[in-house]
Amino acid sequence: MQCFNKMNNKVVKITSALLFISLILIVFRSWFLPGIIIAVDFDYLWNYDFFTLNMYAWNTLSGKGFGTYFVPYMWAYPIQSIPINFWGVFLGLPWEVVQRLTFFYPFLILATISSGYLFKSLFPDIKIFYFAPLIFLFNTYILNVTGGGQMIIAMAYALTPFTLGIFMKVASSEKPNLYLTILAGLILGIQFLLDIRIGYIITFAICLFLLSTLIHVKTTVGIFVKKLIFALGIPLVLVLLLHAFWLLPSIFVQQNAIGALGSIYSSKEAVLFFSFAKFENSIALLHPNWPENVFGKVSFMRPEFLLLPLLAFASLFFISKRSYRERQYILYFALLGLIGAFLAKGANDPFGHVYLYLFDNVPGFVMFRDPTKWYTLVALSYSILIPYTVWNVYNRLKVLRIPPSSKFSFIHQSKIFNIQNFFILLISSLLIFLIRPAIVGELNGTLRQHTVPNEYISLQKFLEQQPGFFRTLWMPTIQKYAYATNQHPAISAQDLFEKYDQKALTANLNNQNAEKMLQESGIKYIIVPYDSEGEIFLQDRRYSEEVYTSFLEMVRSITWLSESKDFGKIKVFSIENPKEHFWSNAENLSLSYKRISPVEYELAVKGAKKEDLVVFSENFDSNWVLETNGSQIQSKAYKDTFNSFPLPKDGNYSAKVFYTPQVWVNIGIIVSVISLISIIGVLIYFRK
Amino acid sequence: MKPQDILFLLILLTILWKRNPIYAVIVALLCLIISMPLFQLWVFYTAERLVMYGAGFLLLAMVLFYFEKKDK
Repeated sequence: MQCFNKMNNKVVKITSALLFISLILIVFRSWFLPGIIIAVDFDYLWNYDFFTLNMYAWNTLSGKGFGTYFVPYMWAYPIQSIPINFWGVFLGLPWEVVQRLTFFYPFLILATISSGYLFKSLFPDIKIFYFAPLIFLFNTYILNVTGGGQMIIAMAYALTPFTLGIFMKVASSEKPNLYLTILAGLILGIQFLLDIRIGYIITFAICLFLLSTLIHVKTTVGIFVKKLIFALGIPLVLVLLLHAFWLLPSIFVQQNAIGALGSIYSSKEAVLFFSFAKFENSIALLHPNWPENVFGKVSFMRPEFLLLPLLAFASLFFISKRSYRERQYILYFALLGLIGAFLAKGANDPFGHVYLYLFDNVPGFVMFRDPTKWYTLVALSYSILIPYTVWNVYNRLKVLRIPPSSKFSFIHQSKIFNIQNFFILLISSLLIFLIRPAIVGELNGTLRQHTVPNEYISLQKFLEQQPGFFRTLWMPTIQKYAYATNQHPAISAQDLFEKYDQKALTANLNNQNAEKMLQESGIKYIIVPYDSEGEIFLQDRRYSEEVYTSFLEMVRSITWLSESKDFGKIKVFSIENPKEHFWSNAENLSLSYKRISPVEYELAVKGAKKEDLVVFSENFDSNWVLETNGSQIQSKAYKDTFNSFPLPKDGNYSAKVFYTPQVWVNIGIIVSVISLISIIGVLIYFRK
Repeated sequence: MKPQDILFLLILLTILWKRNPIYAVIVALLCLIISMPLFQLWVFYTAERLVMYGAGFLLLAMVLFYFEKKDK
């Protein structure tokens, strides 16, 4: 009998694993088949300029193609840059392979192991732990996030169960455990490196768990404070040290990154606009844009998804006679799910003004103009509660008393085809049924196969072979396969002119001042893209050939523009005499420059006269300085847009132009690296 | 205040008086179950309200479980 049970368990485990892997292969099939993976938020990369191993306080490709102070976004780059440089630069693998190895496969592995780990660590006796990854990986929220290409958020989401699990272990320990505390700090540091918003959310979940430990009648204030230090204080200090590379310059340079992005990111109106999910969506773990995943297109409520909260909160039926620990965990995750659902609906009813209040008043909450990030808590919660419910119902069905003489007695006599196994099959089928659009291939973005159009390959070759620095202006906006490097940044015309109506956009260019402005901006080509993905020339949210043709005619009507080349439907227009990256109107002056890095350039100046103006066509920032022979000249605004430096003296000499916040970044990198090495060293020492 | 809200408050007060968290869970899940056909029939206002009531009862259940534990 024992032998049979063991064999039965093994068969169940193997069958479950095979079914789970099959589901991954079916839903995410485009990740395992040849072809490019792209989406709205996941561009095609022709090169790895954007992901340097070193960290720079200025990024040439950002800031609408004119560069920007990059420190507030730097936290996201080490975790991407290291694998991209390893696979792409060091091993020379193509982007099709690098993207899978850097983002997609690690996401699948991490989400599966992480969610399974959390459930197993909380309920080691419950055998159906594989339900946890089934819910965590195959819900509409994460399918829409991965389908849309937000892979860094997806990776951060995938790590959350592991992060929470470690912290729960630390908080639940009777005595302080320094090894676990330091490990927790390292994991939380990585969590914040993946996505700072998800890091914030998981920190909130950790704080909530710490508060829930107050339920324990033996918890005194002293014990609670000790727990707070080991479970939160020390890990947060470690996180700050690990993130010194961007925190230090943020503190000392003091540029308001959120403010610089504009009111679209920091205003109440933005929150009201982005609150797409209603409460019935969020509590049902149903993404409001499921399954089409078109921004702003909200579907009707699908009532079958309410079975998820039914299954999840039914877990509360089973905790009355359980151990303190089990009750604590279930109550905590039930509360976590409810809070997550409340926040994920944003400014919608009920009590939507609470979210607006939090947005305005709680530090860090301004990062959540898009409330759907809070779905992470709902997914975490249901990945614990639903398997718990299923297991308890399974056990109740197992001991259901049916008289042997009854015609239904067979449902207990069979070892495999019995009612409790049928229940497991029913729930599994239900969960799979809910995501049927993913199974039948209805989802878009990364979950669909793509190939790079030949037109864009030809354009890339055309631009790549041209020496020197210049920019390309994409009208109306940059396409997914647009070629862009540090030497040839791409700019979206819509973003540059802040005009989203096509007529207004072309009217903006139909004057001589526009030509001069584009020349001074170093723009050599205006490109009207081939909309291969049907995202740009739209009418009623669908690609319209008419819209493309009429826009092209509007661009052709710009009198000072001449169409110079075409690559199928990609039309290239040349601009005469674009300026260099560094230029001057002084006729006596001869300038040459060499780019050392995005934050440092060397200039060679010949025939200069004092006060000759050198213009550097990157977004104006007073932290750019020109240094020569001991004198430092701070950048002044040129036409409120670019940087300019009045030369300090006559003659021929060399100068250096550099971005001063880089000094703090370099110091921060040293602090972060020393902290990381120390943490790993301490962990190895404790492990021994 | 709508009749649904009055009914919700009456049931809430009854459960508070009984102080049994299981009753709160049962009522919460019933609210979710009843809302499902209403969403299907496009009776959105009542369906949305039922979901909100369900969440309210769940919160009540958690609070009652907490105090039940403290008493024990």
